[in-house]
Formats: sequence, C-alpha cells, structure tokens
Amino acid sequence: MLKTTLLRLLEALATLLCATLLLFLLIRIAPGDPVQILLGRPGEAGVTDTAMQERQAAELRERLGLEDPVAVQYGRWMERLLRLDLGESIHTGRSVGAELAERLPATAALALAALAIQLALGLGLGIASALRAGGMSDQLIRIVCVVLASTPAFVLGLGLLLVFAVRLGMYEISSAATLARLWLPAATLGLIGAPQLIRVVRANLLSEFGQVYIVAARARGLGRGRLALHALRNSLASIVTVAALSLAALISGAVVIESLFAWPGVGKYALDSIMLKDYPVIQGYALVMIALMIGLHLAVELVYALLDPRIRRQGRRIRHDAV
Amino acid sequence: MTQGAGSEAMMLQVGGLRVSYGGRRAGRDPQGPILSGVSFALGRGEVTALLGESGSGKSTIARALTGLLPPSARIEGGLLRLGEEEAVDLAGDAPPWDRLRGRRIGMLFQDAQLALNPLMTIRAQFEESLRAHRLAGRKEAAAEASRLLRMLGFSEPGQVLHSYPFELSGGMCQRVCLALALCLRPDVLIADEPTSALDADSQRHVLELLRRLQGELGLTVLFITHDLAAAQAISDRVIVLREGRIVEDGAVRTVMARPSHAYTRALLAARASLEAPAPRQGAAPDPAAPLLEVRQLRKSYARGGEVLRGIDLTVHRGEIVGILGRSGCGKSTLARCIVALEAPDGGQALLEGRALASLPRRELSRRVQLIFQNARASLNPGRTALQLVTGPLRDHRMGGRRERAAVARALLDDVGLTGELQVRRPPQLSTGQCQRIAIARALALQPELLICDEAVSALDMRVQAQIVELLLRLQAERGFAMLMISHDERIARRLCDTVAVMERGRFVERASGGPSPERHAAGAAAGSSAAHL
Amino acid sequence: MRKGFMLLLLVVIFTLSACASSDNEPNGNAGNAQYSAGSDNQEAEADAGAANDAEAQGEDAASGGGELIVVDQNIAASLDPVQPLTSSYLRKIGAAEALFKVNAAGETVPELAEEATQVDPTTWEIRLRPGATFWSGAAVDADAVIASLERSRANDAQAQPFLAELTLEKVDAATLRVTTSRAQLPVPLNLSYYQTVIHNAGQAHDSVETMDLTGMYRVTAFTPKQSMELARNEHYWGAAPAIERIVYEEVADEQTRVLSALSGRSHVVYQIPVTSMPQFESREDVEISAEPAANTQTVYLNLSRPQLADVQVRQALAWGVDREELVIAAAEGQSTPVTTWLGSNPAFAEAKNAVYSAYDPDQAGALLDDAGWMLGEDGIRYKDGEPLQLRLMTWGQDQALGEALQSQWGRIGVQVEVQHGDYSLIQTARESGDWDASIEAWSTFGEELTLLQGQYAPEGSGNYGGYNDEETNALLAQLAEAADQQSRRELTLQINTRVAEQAPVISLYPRPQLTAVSTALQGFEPHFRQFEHIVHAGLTLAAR
Repeated sequence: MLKTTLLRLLEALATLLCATLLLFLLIRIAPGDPVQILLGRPGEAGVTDTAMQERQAAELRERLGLEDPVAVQYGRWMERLLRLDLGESIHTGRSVGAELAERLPATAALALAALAIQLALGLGLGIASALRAGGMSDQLIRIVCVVLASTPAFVLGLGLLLVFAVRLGMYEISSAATLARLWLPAATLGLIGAPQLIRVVRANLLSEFGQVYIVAARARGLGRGRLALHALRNSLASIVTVAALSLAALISGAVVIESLFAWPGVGKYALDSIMLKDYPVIQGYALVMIALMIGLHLAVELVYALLDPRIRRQGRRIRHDAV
Repeated sequence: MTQGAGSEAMMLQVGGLRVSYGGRRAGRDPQGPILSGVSFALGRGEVTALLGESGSGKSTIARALTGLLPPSARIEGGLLRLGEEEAVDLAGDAPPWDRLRGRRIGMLFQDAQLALNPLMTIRAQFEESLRAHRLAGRKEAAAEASRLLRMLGFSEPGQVLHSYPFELSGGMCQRVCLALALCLRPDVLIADEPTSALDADSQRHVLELLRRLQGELGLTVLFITHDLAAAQAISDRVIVLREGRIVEDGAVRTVMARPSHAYTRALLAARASLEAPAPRQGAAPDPAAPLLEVRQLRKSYARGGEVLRGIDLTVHRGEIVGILGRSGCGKSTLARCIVALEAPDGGQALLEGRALASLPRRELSRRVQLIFQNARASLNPGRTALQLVTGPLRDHRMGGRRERAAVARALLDDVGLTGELQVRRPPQLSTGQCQRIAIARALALQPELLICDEAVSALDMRVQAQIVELLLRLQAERGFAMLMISHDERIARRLCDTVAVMERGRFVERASGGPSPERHAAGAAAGSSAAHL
Repeated sequence: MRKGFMLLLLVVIFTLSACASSDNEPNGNAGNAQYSAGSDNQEAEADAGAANDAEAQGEDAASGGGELIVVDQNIAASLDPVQPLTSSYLRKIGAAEALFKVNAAGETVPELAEEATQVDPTTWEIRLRPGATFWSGAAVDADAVIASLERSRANDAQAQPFLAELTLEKVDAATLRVTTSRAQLPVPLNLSYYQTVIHNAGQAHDSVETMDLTGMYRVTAFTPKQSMELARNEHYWGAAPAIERIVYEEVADEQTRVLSALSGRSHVVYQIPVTSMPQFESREDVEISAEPAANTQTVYLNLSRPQLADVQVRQALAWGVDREELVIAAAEGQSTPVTTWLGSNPAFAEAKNAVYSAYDPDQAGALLDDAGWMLGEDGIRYKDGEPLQLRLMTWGQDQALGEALQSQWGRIGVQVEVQHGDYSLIQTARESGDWDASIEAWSTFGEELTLLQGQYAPEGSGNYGGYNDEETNALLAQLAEAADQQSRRELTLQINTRVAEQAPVISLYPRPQLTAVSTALQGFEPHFRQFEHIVHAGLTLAAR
C-alpha cells in the first residue's frame, strides 16, 4: 500500500513537472510582451517619448529577469517553488500566492454550488428519465437536455441576467461574492452541466437495469424504488467520475460565467493575467490548477475504493467451499 | 388448462403461453413466435425438469411466469394458475406480480454471482428481501438468514452474511441465492439453469441440496436445464421443449428409456457420443519430441495465496493433454502463465527448449494459440467471420490479400461455416458458430500448440459434441498438439491422450485418457460425424 | 448517497468561508442606495461645518446624500498610486488629485496648485493652494509635493514621460520651482496627468488604513479588481461633495455592464459597447453620454509597400473615405468625423475638417488614374497587370470599421482584405514588416511636439509606416525651437496639415466613449478624458 501510494505521488509530481515545463515554454512562445503592456501601449497611454520608453522597458525586463534564457528563468522559478513561493505578479507586484488565495474561495463556492445543482438535476432527472425510458417525460427531458447542451454558456447567463436582474429586479449585478449573488451563476453552470450528468445517469441506470442482479431482485419481489436504488448504487462510480470531471472543469474553467456575473474568482483573474501576459500569475494559476486536478483524480480513486468493496476488500475471499 | 383432472394435485398450471419477440420494433423483422402455445402443469411437491437447447424458449417460459420478460418481448396469450386460485391472464395489463413474485414464485438464475448485487453484503440482501415482504425486522432477518444458510450447508453463516458476492465462489453464491429465494417461503421455485455455470463438484452439491430441501419443504420446482444428466439426477418428470413447443412430457424414467420424439432420441444419442471414448484419428504423438515442457511453475497472488505450486507438464508434438479441475484450482492461471500473459514467480515454460517468455510476441503467437470459453466475447462484434480469420494472417503478413482470403475461406469451410455464414458478424451467429470462428482463427497461423481453456463448457450438449468432433478431426488432419483445460471429465477423457487432474495448484492424478493404444490403432477410420447447426 | 450529502455539506462550508470575508460589505440592493436626508446626514453636516466654514456653499447641494454606484470594466489592482493605472482609477473616483487638471475644453487649470507662472523658457514657479491637506490632515506643502512626485518618478514607469525632464525644488513652504531640461515644456500639462497625483509619500499605500491622498472622497474598503468603497472626506480643502458614499465596482463583461445599467442599480456605467445603443433607446431612467475621446481612429499605411509608396494612391484612399457613413456603420453614430489627426484634440478643434473636407470618390478616382491604376472590367484597378490590393489588419472592436472601409475602398477600385485578430498579431506583423495597413487610435491630447514626433518623426514609435518627409521634419525642428505659444500653435497646425496631405495615415473619427448615466444622477459632466473624470462636488442623487 505504501509503495503504491508513493508511486502515485511520484507519478503526480512528474505530471506536474511536465505540465509546468510545457506551459512555461508555451506562454513565452506566444506573442505579446508583459513589460510593454505594463508600461502602456504607446497609443493608449497619453504622451510618449519613445526612446525613453524603450530604455525603461529594457531596464524593467532586465530587472524581471525576462532577458535571461528560458532555462535560467525556469530554474529560478523552480527554485522559488521549492520554497513554496509562486513569485510576484508583474502587473501588481503582489504575491501570486496571496492573490490566488483571495480568489479561490469564491471559485470553490461557485463550483461546489454549481456541482450540487448539477447533481440534483442530474440524479433527479436522470433517474426519472431512466425509470420512464421511452415515455413522454423521458422524451421531454431529452429535448430539454439537447437544448441546454447546445446553448452557449454566455447566452444562457445573459438571458438569466436579463430576466432576474433587469426584468424582475431579483438579482443584483455587482462584483461582490455574497450568498445573495451566488445562486444565479451557480444555477447557470448547473443547468449547463446537468445534461451530461443526466445522460450518464440515465445510460448507466438503463444498463444496470439490464443486469441479472436487478432481474433477480425483481424476481424476489422488490419494488421499483429499491431497484432504482440498487442500480444507482452500482452506477455511482461512473457518476462520481463525471461529477469529478465536471468539478474540475468548474474550478478551472468557469471563466465565461465568472466574467459574466462579475464573480471575483480565479477564472477571471487568470483570463486577465493572460491578457496582460503576466507570466508569474499564469504559471502560478496553472500550477495550482494542475495540482488540484491531480488531487481530484486521487480523490476519485479513493472514492472508488470506498464505493466498491471489490477494491476495498481486495483479496478477502472465503475459500473453503464448506461441503 | 390442459390437465383438468387431478388439478388439486397441481401447484402451478400454465395454459396456452404464446410469446414473440421484436414484433413492435419498426425496421426489424418480427421474429417468429418464441413460444407457440405452451401448456404444462407442475405437480405439488414435484420436481419437473424443462429440458431444451438454448434458443428453445425455456428461459422465456421462466421469465414469462415471473413477469420478467424484456420489453422487446410480448406475451400474446397465456394463463397462469397457482393451486386453486383464480387464473392470472399473463397477457393482461397488470398481472399481480407484486403478490406473486418472490412470495409465491421464487427464482434461481444461471449465474448466481451475477444475480447478487455486487455492492451489498449478503446480510443486506437478506434483510432487504425479508423487509420488503414484511416477513421480518432487522434482527429476525439475520437470524432467519443464518438458519437458512446453515440448512444450505454453510457451517459459518455469520461469515457468509458479512461477505460480498465477489468473496464467495460460484457454488456458494448459488446456495446463497437459493437461501434468498427460500427465505420468502415460496410455493414454487423456478430454477433456470442453476448449475450450468458451476464445476462438476459444485454442480453435484447444489443439485443434492436442491433435491433434499425440496423434499423437506415440499417445494414445487421447475428445473430448467440443457443438461440431460442433471435433469435425470433431480427430476420426477421431464418436459422437453423444442423451438417453442413441448415435444415430450412424461415421467423421467419413461422418457429416458423410451423417448417418443425424434428430437429426444437425438439428445440422448449426443450424450452417448460424448461419453464414448473417441477413436484416435491422427498420427500417434511422438514421445521423443517434447513440444512444451513446464517445469516447477509457481505463481502466487498477493491476496489470493499460492495458486500454482510447482507444476510439471510435458506436451509432445501431436499429443492431446487434458487438465481437469474445479474452478479455482489454478488451471486458467496455468494457461495464462504458459502463453506468458502472466509472469510466473518460479519455474518456467519451454517451447522446444526455449523459454516461452523470452520468445518474441510474434513468434509466440504464431506457434501457440489460445481459445477461450466465451468465444463471442473474444471476437470483435463489428467484423465478419471472414475478416476475423484473415486478421491474424494480415498481422503476420502472410501471403497477399487474395491468398489470405482464400486461406480464410478454406478454413471456415473446414470448421463448417460455409457460404453466407462467412460474411456474418458474431452477433448474428450462434455461440457454437462463434466458437467455430474462434477455432478457425486460432488455426489460421498453423500453430504447433493449441490451448483450449474451457472451449466448449458454455455450449449446449449437442453443440458440445459437434465441437469436440471438430477439434478431434482437425487435430487428426493437422497434427497440432493440444492442451485441453476443462472441468468436464467426460470431455477431457474423450478427447485426451493423457489427463492430469489439478487440485489447489498442483497435479494430484495423472492418467491416460481413453484406452489410448486402441485409439491410436483405430486410425482415420471414422470422423465424419460432425454435423453443424 | 452519503457522498451526495457530504458534497452538500462542503458546498455550505465553502460558501460560508467565501462570504465571510465580504460579509461586512453592504449587501444593498437599489433599496439602500438612497439614504434619506435623515439624522446622520445632519450629523455629517455639523462635522463638516465645524471643520471648515468655507464649505457653506456645499451644504445646499449636500442635501441629497446617498450612495453613488459606479461600474467600470476594470478597477484598481492595488491602492498605491505608483502602481500601473491605479492612480487613474483613484482620480476618476475622486480620491486622488494632481497639481493641475484638464477641463472639458482641453485647458489646463489648477487643482492642488493655485497658480503656475513661467519665469523663463525652462523655469516655472508653482504656488500651492493654501489649506490643502491630505486625508490624515497633513499639509500639502512644497516638501510633500516634491516627495510625492519623486516617489512617482522612482517607482512608476508610466510617470516617466511627464517627470523625466523636470527638476523640482522648494522655494518656500507653498511654492516650488520646476526647471525643465528642454525649453518651452508645458509644465502644468505634464503635472495634470494622473500619473502625477499627489500622495503622502511618507505613508505606506498598501492598505485602506495607511494610504493618504487628498481627494474629496476617502477609500474605506477595497478588494483588488473587485470593488472599492469610498466615503466623503470631511476635511476636504474644497467644496464638500453632496453624495456621501461611493461604491466602485468592476464588471468586466460588457454585456453584463449594459444589464447592470438597465437594471437601474448603478448610476454610472463605463464602457458601454456601441452595439448596445438600441437597448437604451426606450429607457427614460438611464441615458447614454457619448463623448468623443481625444484620440483618432487612424489607418496606418505601410509606406514601404510599392502601391502605398505613391502619395497619390494614399491621397486617393483618404478622399475615398466617407467618414459620416463610417461613424454610422462602425460607431452607431456616436462620434463625429475627423479628417486630420489632431482634429480629435479639443484644443485643435479647427483641424477637425481640414484638407479632406468632403467625401470625394471622383477625386480619388482621378488620382488613381493619374497614378496609373486603371479600372479593370471587374471593378478593380490594375497597373502593369497587378491589381490594387491591400490587407487591412484590425483588432478589438474595429472589425466592423475594417469591413466598412473595405466596402468604401472597393467602390474606388481598391481590393481590401480585412484580417481581424489579436493586437499581438499586428505587432508581430509590424516587426516583420509584412503588413499593408492597420487601424489604431493614438491619444491626440498632450504636448504637441512629443505627440507629433512620436507619430511623424522618422524614429517615432507611432510612425509604423516609415514616414520620412523632409518638409515635415523641418517643421518639427522649427517647432522644437519655437519660443512663444502662438508660433507653436501655428507650426503644430502646419505640420498637421502637411501630414494630412502626404497621407501616411488616414484619420477617421475619435473613438466614442459611451457612459450610461442614470437620470437619478444630476450634474454628470462629459469629458474627453472621461476615464479619469467622473466624480466632482456638484454631483447629486435624486430619490428614485
């Protein structure tokens, strides 16, 4: 057990390292210069004395170490990482770790709330649709799923904002991260993510319904509800997988919704940093996200083990076929 | 009802049961009726065997009587009457299954391990059943379950109750299933092939238990099987089903002694042929040329303990060696170690003196081929028989496109899949036909050694007989050596030159198969008996 | 099942932890946006009165009180005025001030300074406003001003253009002398930019508690790039503002900003996209202020391309632009045509319609004929078998503009391909020299010589096309030497005209800046540099 755990951790570390290296290179290959953006694009920042600006840019680049070979920059970053230091933002000069920590709770709250909605919808409608497979309600749910799945996030988000903020005045458009402002973006994300979960729940339940143990349970006279419970329990592993993937997407990529609802999370922060080519921030964000994803995967495996006695009680077998 | 007279002695009566499949689906031909007017009755406290091949409709009867038919099936007519009660119209809108299922009619399935919820402990499944029918509360449920399990021969029911199905063997699962069915105290038990998936010992054990309990509890049993021997062993009466019709219905002794229908006679003959020793058709094995040598092979799993405990085995060129053993004795692990699908912990397997594990994959797969129990699962369902057989030829770059097709066609002809059957895909073929494809595919590369891991166990008896004949004939013509792994003593003894009996990871007995000197002498006299379905 | 429950639990925990930090913020809906002129308002007035009698005039206006909500695309990432752009947000919202400011007419007027006098071509004397203090009460004297400007010079790269050529020294507590390294530098203008806002250099500007500025509002709460809250500075040196509190929020998405304005919660919403104009048409509670900015949407031409090296072709392109139509097609009518580059600077309003005084496709055709580009049967002009083609690169919101130009130039026989993408693509193309034309809008407000040199001197950083005209260069040299204001102005206009005639660039119109303003807010003043001008003492909120 210790050995496998250790191996897993090493594997995770290697993944992390490769991913950061790749990212480090990619953002430096992409066009755009953080220093130039910082000093202001000449046309946009009032007056310009070009020669002086060039000089300043060069100085700043030197100070930030951007003139060094990429390998040296990477080494320096790694060295700081080992001291658990993500560096400072070029743009604000503040610690990247602190800036991320300010925004992660908002993103986590949004992601988990959205996931809860997704799960409620996914399980509720998925089960309903599996129990009435082929019936009217199943068809209806399917149509709603198709419509939702093919609606771009921003369209749905803007639509909901228009209704709830402008028409009904029930929702406040501001930039605060409060409970009163959480429900609408969470609902939007929940609605967008639900169809996938509904489909997975439905498909899995239907496939479980075809299994012998369900037929056998029916033969023992168990009711529909109990059967659905059996099937659900047995498809929980795939549901957990999808939910975990969904959560991963929600945490790392709810950029559009965060921006639309002015929700002060990491997604918007990362997007801004990409626009500003704020290398340390992009790197720090990616690192934290990759680490989160790896953690999530490990957690999913743990959940598998908890859910499935075949993994949990590996090798325990009653061998004596008592005659 | 057919049997009007003596109905008070009848526990369950079925009248005019007609079922068809797929009629409603658009774009699919409505298949013919799977059951066309089946009527029979089960005597109170009697065991009645329902005998038939796969596809004869016997499982459909079981499911129709418990309302468990898949949605694609439709009951067109049929009445069910339990004892003296009012008959139930099976074709009606809502037969009162809640009242009947479990409580009045219990059921056993072929694969007991699959019939239990894999994620629930046995105790939880007992509790659930008993509480669903309000027969017991939590505590009484456990006590009742223990009592029944003890009755079913478990010496430590507590341990079983806390287990999950995967922690129990197939035989144990079937006994648990039996206990689960009995705890609801049904009047009728429908057992659908309850022993077919078990090894010989477990089979015997479960049959004995079933017979004993039936006697003790006065249970009425419908025992569905394709196995003539099992039917004979357990039942009072036998009903023979063929293509959705009952062709024979009578006391076991009468039917076995004087079958009235030609089909019953054919069934009896097939069994006889399997039990008779086969005449050796090909050249005698060459004792001087060991093809496969296995030396002191050991394998253990971290949790499963020692599975192979020093196996020594030699297969000569042209020899047929059988390995006989119960499930879990390690015979499949042995096969996997031989073809290097698994690395042994100690000892080695040599092919003509060279370690198998060190042979290049390509060479190994050309010289040694494996056939599995479930042919259908081992074949890509999207490819035609012809494509499946050309596959290995293409992988090994043998011949040109045309040549390969020609070889494959000849091979398929040889295993008895001719004409239009060659362009069908596995889902459109029967299990026996799939096994023929698997054989053709394995032989395409002209291997020197063919390992058959329970290659015929899943087949109906008549088909079993045909495949066994086919293997014997092909071996005689081509002269490859064969390692035949089976739990079926009859088949092993019929096919093999030598048989080794395996138990808990080691050989406990070695014997020559049939009367081998005579077999070798018999030469290539007979052998055209292979009819195909 | 247990898993689902645990997830729910987690959601609750996370939500609570996320909100814990922001619980002290007002959750207010429109409801508490207006404070009644109740008791605490009177208290505030009493305080103000005690502090400064001169505020008497403000008290009439102050009867409105209330909370002003301002929504912007971006707000500050930090509180320190020397961090990039921070000072622009602080100034916009009334927290920071500079020595001078530019009024809506483009004139430089005193703010924290009282008066500026030019002693000789390189020396200015600036007298500070008596009684001006920081929030902390510390006096804004010569020492404090010098310390502040020196801190900006040392830490803010963006302040360099305005401070690099100045030397500051104290004359007495209320006066400082500024010496310039170059003659005729407009020192008050330089010291009006937001990069030169006066802050208490002795304080740490990293938290709300320690930061110390001079504005009429002081920051009371701040979350970087999220929101800022301000309350009236009761010790303000000038007229006290009427509105009590300000909430300043960042809403990055433009559509969401539009909805925020439409929902009626916010009073001022910056950066409304022109495409959203129709949504405001039927609304009575919110109006759009469309003030042209002091910048010019300009097509830059690459003069090293053979077809564009010919001045007649460039002039033809300039004549062949129907600017009225462009304003309608690409700016929803929210701007006005500008035919020369300086035309968008309010100080040079007379240059607005110079040189290319009307849309004249015939003139354009004649010029192209002269240049040897003859109209082919397919409607495209050819010379030596080569079609007259150019690739126009656009970015940001300028795609519609690019396409409108494509169609207009198509009418005079020029085949235009529009390539829309990220700004970095344009940069890359320029570096490699592989480009024909691109659209960009430089600011036209500032010190004339620097502006014009940046655009039209051979080494200017805005001279993308490689324009190098002897006459222009000579005029620029004269401008650098010019001694008095009058001749500077004349030379500036001459250069502007010369460049327009040579047409290395084609000026179109100023970018519109659309701001949604609630009708509940009175006293809103449009400004061509709206991005740093919004809050002033005269704003009042009517009850809605």
